[in-house]
Amino acid sequence: MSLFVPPLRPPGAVDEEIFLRKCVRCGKCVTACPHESIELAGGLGRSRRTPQVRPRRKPCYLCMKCPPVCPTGALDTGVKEITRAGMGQAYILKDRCHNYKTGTMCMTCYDRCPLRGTAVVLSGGLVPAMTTACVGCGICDYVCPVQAVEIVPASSRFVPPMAAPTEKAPGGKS
Amino acid sequence: MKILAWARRGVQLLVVAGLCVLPWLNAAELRQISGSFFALDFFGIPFADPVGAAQVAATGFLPGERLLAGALISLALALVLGRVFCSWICPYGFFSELAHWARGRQGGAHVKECRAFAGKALLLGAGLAAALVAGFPAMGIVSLPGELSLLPMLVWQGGDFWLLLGAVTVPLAALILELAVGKRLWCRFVCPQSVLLGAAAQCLPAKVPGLCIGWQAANCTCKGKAPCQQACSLELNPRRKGGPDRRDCTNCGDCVNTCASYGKALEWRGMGYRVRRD
Repeated sequence: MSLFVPPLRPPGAVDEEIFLRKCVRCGKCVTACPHESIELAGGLGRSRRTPQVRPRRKPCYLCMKCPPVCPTGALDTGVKEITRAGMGQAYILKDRCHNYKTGTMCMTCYDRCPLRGTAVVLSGGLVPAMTTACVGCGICDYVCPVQAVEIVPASSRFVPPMAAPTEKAPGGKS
Repeated sequence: MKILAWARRGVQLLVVAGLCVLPWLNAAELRQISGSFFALDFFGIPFADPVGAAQVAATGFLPGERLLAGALISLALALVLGRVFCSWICPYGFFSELAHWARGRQGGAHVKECRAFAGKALLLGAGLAAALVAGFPAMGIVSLPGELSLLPMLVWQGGDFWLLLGAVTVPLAALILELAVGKRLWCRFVCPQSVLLGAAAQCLPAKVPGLCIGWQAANCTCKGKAPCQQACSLELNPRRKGGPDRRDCTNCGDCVNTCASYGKALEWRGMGYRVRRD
């Protein structure tokens, strides 16, 4: 992951620039998370003490308990559906994924995705492929046995060079 | 009135102990109290650091509803009860008092309260300007009540050594300095929270009920260095018409307790008659 990519925010986070201005770093979302997925960032910059999710440590399980407790509006309290979590986008890295690299059929990311069939589909009926319906919870990144998934936060336009193409979401979300 | 002093120490200890276990209580689904001193939910009532809300406003956004409500509630409490947050709740205030007690008061030039407050207000203004320029609440690192209240959360989340060190550096440095100097420097000359709380406390109109300490000149028997002034850890002078300034006084009651052994010229005033300084 590029050093310039911002942290992955909890579900319902507003645009990164507005988030940094609105969040007072109170930590309420951190203790509201029953899965201990959210942590306060370190450092000294603008992101200091802001909440972030590091999927390879603990992904977001999309319980949606954090947006309602945010007193600042940095997390949109109106976001209740997991399809609106809007955390980011997952990318499958072709140079690591078993399916692309060795042809070994591995369905781990597909099987564990909370939006299976929508956010991740089986391309050609065989190979897992991310779609635009992905909300970036990071469960696929967490469960992948070869770390072949990368989550890019919603506020970033970064696309990993070896990313498999992102497909259009079933049902029309572009 | 000694009982009030003990009650205050008890509450301070309870707050520090409560903060230490709060993340674990929250994790065990006990969420009646949650958050930190940046924004806290206390049995459904929001409280917030007014400086935090001011910083959000400085960055160009209206603070969230609950943050704004929490900040206004905190300021309203300061308006009615004075700066009791500083003397009863603030964890840094507790450690600062502890350091002051351990070291004992040291001599040195006395700085006028109005100058100290003006200096603090200037720092707050600079901090708000920094928030505007930097585009984030940059004063978080010097908001010691909030910063200290986040420390247990960082421990709970399994923060590494550097993360924890980053959280304790400023409060620890301030405490060491206070221990060395023997004065409560942070609360008197730096704390941005005390500026807004003090300003709110001072806004109470005359003859409106509100907690404060009153002084009756007729009962004052002390000559020279007054024991009440010696007892005040913030080096305020309670012997003035209307008592110590509500803007600077944290209503800790140390002067009242000391005076109780002398002429009982200092007394708590609340809902009844109160004298304002001219």
